[in-house]
Amino acid sequence: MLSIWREFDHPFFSFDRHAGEPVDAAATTSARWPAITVTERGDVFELVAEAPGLGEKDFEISVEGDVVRVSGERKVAAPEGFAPRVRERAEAKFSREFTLPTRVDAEGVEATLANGVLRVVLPKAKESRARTITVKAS
Amino acid sequence: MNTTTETKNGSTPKSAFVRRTFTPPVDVYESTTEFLIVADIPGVAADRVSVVFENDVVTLTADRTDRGDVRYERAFRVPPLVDTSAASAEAKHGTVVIHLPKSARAQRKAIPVRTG
Repeated sequence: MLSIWREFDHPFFSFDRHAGEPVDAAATTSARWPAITVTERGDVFELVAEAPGLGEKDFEISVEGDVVRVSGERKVAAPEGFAPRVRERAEAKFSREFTLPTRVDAEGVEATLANGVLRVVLPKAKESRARTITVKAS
Repeated sequence: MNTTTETKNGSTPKSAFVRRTFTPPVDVYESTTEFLIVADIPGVAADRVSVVFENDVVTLTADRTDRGDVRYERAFRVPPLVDTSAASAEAKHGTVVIHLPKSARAQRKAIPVRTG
């Protein structure tokens, strides 16, 4: 191609890769996307999934006994009329299963999504909750 | 992103406030009329995203709203053909899309050829 103006031969975007810590592996590797953390706090477990780009309807969450499963899919496609120039965001179809230390109360499970972060609060089943036993005088 | 120590209630202890900066993964797309930068910034609401243009560098800065200790930051040097005055950005579901329209001069245009 004959270039009339040098401007048309622009090198593409250059990146400042020193702004912060390296891109988190979990954020770019399909096999590990989304990053999920499960914590235990008193009578509940909390599952947090960092899944930017997904909406409420893109998740499927199920609970059975002591197992919680989160699945979904993120497609990363160029919009109509656009060509990809840089691709770092992971495309992933995931189904992750976690076996918790105790059974959970499936009826009491609540999930919320805010700014691409999914939080699932899983109350422990009644029989699994900590109980303080009062010692009676005999 | 899970390397930061959290207290039991998910907040950062005041005595040990250390904000860490992460480089968000991005996709860049190009059409005949504009460039798009799409970045993953989970946990950030739209009002905590800033996109600043200076000379030929666009800097994206986003602070997590659900926890105070994480910032996403990344800078891009863009081609001079970008029309900075028409740039825009929108955030949704923890992603931000930055639109960088090409200036009219740089867009493909068919020039009519008349009979001489």
